[in-house]
Amino acid sequence: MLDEMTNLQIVLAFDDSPVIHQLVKQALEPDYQVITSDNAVDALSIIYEQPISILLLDVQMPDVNGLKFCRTVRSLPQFRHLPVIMVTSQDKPFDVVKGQLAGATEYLTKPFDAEKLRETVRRFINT
Amino acid sequence: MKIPEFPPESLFSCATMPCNSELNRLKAVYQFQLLEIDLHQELDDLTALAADLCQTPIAMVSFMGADRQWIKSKVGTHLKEIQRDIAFCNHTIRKLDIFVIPDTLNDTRFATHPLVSQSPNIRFYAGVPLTTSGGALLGTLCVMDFEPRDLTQNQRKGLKTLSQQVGAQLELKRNTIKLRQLIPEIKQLKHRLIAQELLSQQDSILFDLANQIRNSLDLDAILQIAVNEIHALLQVDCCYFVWCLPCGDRFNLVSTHEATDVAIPSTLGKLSVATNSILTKAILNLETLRIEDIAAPSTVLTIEDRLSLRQLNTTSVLLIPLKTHSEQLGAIICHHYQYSRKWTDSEVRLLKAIADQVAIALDQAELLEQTRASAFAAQTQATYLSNALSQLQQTQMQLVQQEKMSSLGQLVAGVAHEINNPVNFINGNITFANDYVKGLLELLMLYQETYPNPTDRLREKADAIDLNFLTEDLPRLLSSMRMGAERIRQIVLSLRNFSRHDEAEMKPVDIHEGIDNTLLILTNRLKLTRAKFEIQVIKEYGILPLVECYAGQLNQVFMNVLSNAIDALDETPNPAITISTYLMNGEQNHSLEPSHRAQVDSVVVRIQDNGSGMSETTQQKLFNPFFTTKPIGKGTGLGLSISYQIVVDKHGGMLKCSSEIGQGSEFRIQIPVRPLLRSK
Repeated sequence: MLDEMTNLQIVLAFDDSPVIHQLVKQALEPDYQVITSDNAVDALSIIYEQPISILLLDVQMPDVNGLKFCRTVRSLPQFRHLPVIMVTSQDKPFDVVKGQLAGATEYLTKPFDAEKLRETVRRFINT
Repeated sequence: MKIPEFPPESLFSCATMPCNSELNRLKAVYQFQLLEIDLHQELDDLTALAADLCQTPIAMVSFMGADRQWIKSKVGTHLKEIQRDIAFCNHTIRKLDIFVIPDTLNDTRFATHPLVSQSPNIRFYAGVPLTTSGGALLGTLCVMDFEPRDLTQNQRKGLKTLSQQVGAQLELKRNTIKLRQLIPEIKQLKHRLIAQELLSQQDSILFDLANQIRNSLDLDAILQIAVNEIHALLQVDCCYFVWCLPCGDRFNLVSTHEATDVAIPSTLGKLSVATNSILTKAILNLETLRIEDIAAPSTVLTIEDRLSLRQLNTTSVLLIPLKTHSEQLGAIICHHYQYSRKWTDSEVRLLKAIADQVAIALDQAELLEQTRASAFAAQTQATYLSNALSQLQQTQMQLVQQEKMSSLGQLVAGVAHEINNPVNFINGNITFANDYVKGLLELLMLYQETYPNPTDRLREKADAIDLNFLTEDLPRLLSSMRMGAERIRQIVLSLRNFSRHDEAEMKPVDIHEGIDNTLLILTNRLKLTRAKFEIQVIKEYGILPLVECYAGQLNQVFMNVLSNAIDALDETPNPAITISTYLMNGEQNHSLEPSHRAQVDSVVVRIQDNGSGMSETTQQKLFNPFFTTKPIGKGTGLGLSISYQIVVDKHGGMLKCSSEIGQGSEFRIQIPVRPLLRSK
């Protein structure tokens, strides 16, 4: 899955929906290398092992939700500054605040269009 | 609009009817006079109805003042007021009943009246006094026509009813306004009562609320309970919680929980105030903001402050800031939208205490979330590390084994090669040696026959070397040497076969040959167990095809399994190892996917011993790397683990063990005849 030869920046999309995986890939490839994961343990392993540039995170998932996962990532010192974008269909003011309290860098509401996702990713990857 | 208690003096300067009842009437008129602004539509509807009912071009509602008649609503005329002394209605209010003038020209009282003799030349008039339920006479409802005529009884009755309706409308409006004027007073009174109540029960209220808030560790519940309770306790129009969130170098105020009266628009979402508004400043400086009426003159509020508060459409604000240990900033905000409210010290104190409780509850909730996250991080890290460790162990094990096998293989191959040459010398020369000895013995016998009486010296020597026995034993000895040399040759061949050092690719081999070679190497161990028994090896070989496999590795498996079986038989009387082999048709192989079955035949090798057997626990760990039941130094714990890898991973086969304490163990090795998986 990984191509060590390319110098593309890596985006990890953690979402339990394969449809979203596909959408993210369509939106970001081939400018970025997109790795997808549908469970928390795998996602964390990927974060440990790969030089991830940005994490796209669904909020509502079974077992470990995105907020908990975001806090988990933030609790590890080496990932304190990793850009984390919550990608979710929950857009009430408190949802956004909860995302921010959990340590999310940005909040993107589903359904999103490809250009908006690209623009957001570009904004955080370049800074 | 305000209704003064007493009208100005000018109203009472009445020359026409200067009496007490007229004064009271004028007071009432003045009070109602001010209502008509709000009553246009209602009065106009009733006036139009009167004109319709009586079929007249003109109809009007008027109040009778001290010196003039004010027309409040009209149809068919532009008159706004009429001097009282020439007004037809002046007669109507004196009469206190319906007053009708069928033809003004025929009535001497009105024939010369300016409204009759001049424009608009009124010829017919009918009026009904307007009275309130309290009996105050306000004015009239009247209709007029340019032609003489009369009203039917029904029309007269209808006109009276309409007049009562006008009176009722006026009274209703007056009462409503009075009531509205009382509301702020009632509210203020209520707030004073609440404040007193709060003051007297502050401790118990705080205790209850703190209990409710602290009972939950859910952020959502904590904030909703807090705003609901404050809204109900302080009877404010709206109470909400805002977060003060950093956004670049600015701060945004976001309202997430609110409790409001139904008619009040929601505050939820980002507050529409400037980023440096007085609210933001108060939260950042952790200062309480307490504004009774934002319109009232104050030294505290700048023009900008007022403007930003006006954006919230509020009249009265109380803001209690809070800060959690995790540096989150927020505030509880109370608003009144229509009336000012004096926030008492006790209310502010109570709200501050509640804000402190909320901050603690938020800290607890945050701490819980963080702890959960850390626990999860630790758990996943542990899983990750454990996986890494297990991989490392596998790699280490493979390396150790590779190294061992490589060294052992080299050694075995080297030794075999080195022994092979001298053994060949022996084997090659032993035939000649045999011939030579045979020749020499024949020659000796020839000598004995030719010279039957040897010299004493010869006889002594023959006796010394026991010539008779020597000539008898030498051929046996040579034969035995040939057998020994042949054994060495066999062993060397087996060693070379076993190590198969040169074979890195899969090749079709005879499995039975591999088993036999292994047994040969183990012959010594089979001969005598610690309990002084010889292990009986029972071979039940079936007919097997050549199997495509890594022969050297598979021999290693047989070696490991057979060595373990021999170890297990160390203390067993009448020890036996049964090796059975057979070919299993793919269709019978239920461990395979149905689609694969037809394609794959497998060979099965079952190695059974009648040894001590294994416990369930041992069986579970049997294939784990570094697991051994042998004493330190005797076993590495790698044999079966590697065997498992060779059979399962490298050949796509199966290695299973079944065992029972006291009954012995059986290892079942199943290898596909053609490889299923490519080697890793």
